[in-house]
Amino acid sequence: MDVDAIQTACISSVIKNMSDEKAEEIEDTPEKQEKKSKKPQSLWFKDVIEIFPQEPLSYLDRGPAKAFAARGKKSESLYVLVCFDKGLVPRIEDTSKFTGLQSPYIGLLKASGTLFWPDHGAEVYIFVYENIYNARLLKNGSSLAMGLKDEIVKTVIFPSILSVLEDVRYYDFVHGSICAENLYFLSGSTSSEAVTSSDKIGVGECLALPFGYAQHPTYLTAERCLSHPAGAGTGMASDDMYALGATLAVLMRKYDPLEGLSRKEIAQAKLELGSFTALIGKNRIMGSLLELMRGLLNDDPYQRWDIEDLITWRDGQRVGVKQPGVKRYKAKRPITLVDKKYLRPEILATDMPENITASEALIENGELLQWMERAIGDKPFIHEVQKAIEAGSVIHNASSKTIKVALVGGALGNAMPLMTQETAFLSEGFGKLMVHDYIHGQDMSFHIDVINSQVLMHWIDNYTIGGLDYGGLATKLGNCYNSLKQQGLGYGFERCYYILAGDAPCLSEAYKNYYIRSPEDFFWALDDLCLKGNVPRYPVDRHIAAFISVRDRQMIDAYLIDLNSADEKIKNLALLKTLATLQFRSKLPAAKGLSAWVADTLGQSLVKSFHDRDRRKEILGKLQKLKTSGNMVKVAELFDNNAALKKDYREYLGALQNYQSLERELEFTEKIVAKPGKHGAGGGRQIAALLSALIGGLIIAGTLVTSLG
Amino acid sequence: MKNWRKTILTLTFLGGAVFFLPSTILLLTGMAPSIVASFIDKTKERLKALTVGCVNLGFCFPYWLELVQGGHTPEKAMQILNPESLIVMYLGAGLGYFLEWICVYASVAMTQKKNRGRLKSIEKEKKALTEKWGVEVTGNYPVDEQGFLIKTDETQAVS
Repeated sequence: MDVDAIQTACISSVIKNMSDEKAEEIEDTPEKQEKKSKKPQSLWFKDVIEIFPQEPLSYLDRGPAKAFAARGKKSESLYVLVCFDKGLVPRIEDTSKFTGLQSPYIGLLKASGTLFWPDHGAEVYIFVYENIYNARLLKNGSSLAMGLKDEIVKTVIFPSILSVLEDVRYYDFVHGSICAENLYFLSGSTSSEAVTSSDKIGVGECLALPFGYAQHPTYLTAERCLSHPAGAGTGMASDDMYALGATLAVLMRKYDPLEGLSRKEIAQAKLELGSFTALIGKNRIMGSLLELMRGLLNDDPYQRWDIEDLITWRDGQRVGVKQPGVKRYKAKRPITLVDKKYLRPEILATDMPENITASEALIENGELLQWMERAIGDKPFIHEVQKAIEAGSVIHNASSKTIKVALVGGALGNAMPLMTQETAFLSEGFGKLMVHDYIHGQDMSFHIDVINSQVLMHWIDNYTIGGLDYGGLATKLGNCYNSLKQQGLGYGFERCYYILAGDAPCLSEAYKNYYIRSPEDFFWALDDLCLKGNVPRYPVDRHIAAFISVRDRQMIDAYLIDLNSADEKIKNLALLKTLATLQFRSKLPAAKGLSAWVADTLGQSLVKSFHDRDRRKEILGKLQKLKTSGNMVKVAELFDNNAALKKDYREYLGALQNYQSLERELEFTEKIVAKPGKHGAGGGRQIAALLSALIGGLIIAGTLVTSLG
Repeated sequence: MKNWRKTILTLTFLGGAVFFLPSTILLLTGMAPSIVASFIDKTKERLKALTVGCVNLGFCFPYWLELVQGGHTPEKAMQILNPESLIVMYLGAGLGYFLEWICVYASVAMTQKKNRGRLKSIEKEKKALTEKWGVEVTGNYPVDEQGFLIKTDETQAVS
């Protein structure tokens, strides 16, 4: 698991930006300068916010999300955070809550949405904030140890963070980015280097990245440290408290005892020593904040201080002691895994994924359980591990060994992530991790095995502490499991992304330059592609179908069967009806690109639903008239006409019979013409008989008249 | 029952022939070609026999009238039956034969012409159907349950 590489890239990306900018200036060629001069000077967002892509604000960057200057219509100073990495799903679901924040120590959210970014050549998601920040408190590249006096921290920095956390608690969401790197000198501060008592410090934003993605492992609990940054879950209020405690430690300590350690090593240090000891080390921390930090850095989330405790402490009152909720075990004798001895089962759990074969041997030969019985002796704990072993034994797929070891690892710790050699994630973080891995070209077969084996259901039942909507997650996982059983368009593994990651954009490769967050976005993206003449071969591919079905099933579910048809006519008609339904139900304006595309391309295939070639020409003629209308409903009505189709079919059957009877008549007539024989003689005989009767009669009458006259 | 009726008719006819012997002699001789025609004509309608018989009868009638007006005796009948009268009577039969032949010939020729014309119009109609409904209307290519061509190399070439 190359999580450390990702972490390093996140935290140090600002340094890279600054050095890159300088490098660009030095290495600018005439071509690059000419290209730069052609770049737009500003972009407009929703016609009210002017963004300056040529004015980056690197001190406000949040890992891979980059900051640029912006200005409101009333010339207010703003900045925009651009989420360039489509694999990192921003916390859009928390946008409405963030908008309600009132604290003066955090920049207000002014707007958010998608925008085409010319340099990126694609649409991106952006957040626009009020720019109240002057400079970063902790400079880029600095060690995570500022050595500030506790008085400064207590009077200048802590109140700002507490103000934000109180507001956050009021709106019932988790900030998730409380850290020294996300603290800033606010406008009105006297300095931007060393903190003084007259400075104002504020907290940065938290929406542009998944929870915990940009957090250094210092600020994360041991369990969240162990997971992949994209799979760290959604976070709880207790995580903000922990992050606050870690932030205070960073602000006050003079050196970082965990410097140079990997993400996993930091987690192991926290598990071994306890977070407070691991973060403080031999630093001498004096003052009243020590008690605060101990309370906030408690590794037991049930005993960790919450916001009420913080306020109680701030008001000078004594914070009560809480009952412990989590047991941490230390064995009397060690167990050995690949020449390393372990006394703590949770630390053993962190190393088991790196040694699958040896770990599996420990489990299968009973050595693990034996060690637990003899060296730990806690029967409920041993029973949990036994359950995990049994649960792992019934999984039979390519990843069964990995999952079994991961299950046992989960049982050995408290609220551990599911860990493998390549990745690790908490159950509620699985969805966003899937999106991240897919966009970054990872092999998804393990993720499919996780859903198929339903291991996360076991995880939710046994290895979670609570505080989140695990019932909702269990339902979603069940839906994913059922979806994998069906392989048609709209189902399968693609559907799982959108079930588990509610804010994920559509991941279709055909629409990679568009940030599609709703069926309406898809409609306009396809319209745009039609106008550019770049319509994908399958406009509704597996991702699009699954995405629309999950986001709004009424738009597409009725047509999924036909979209899955092998018959091009049926499939194309279903596509047209989907577009018409989208436009009608969402009351979308004219889409001229789409109507022109249907008239010039799709119509040729659709019209073949009719047998009658004259009718085809007639419909194509009407279609050409609707070419520039942009009205997909009217276009669809030309083809989706059951009465006309039935009539056409009836007439076709009649023509078929007519043709057959002509064939028979032709065969018969050809035979007669080839050998006429006496064919047609009957009529001649009748005429001859008539004539002879007439002649005979005339002679007799004439004779009689003559003789009697 | 039918045989009984037939017997009565035959007996009646024979009785009549004997009773009207002179007419029988005259007509039997004069209408011999018609009798032959009735044996030759194998058709159900016996139109050839009718054609020959009508004209033959017409040409025999003046002689029969002469017989009736001359006493209606066998001797008179024999007297009328001379070569000239026989030629006239047989000429009538011949005219009947000729009439029948010419009418049949003309009828067959006209029918043949009409059939050739029909062949051309059938081809036109087929072509019009194919143009309107496609080659699938011919029934010579594989089609699906809705009647549309199933894609094969052959159908790709013609569609």
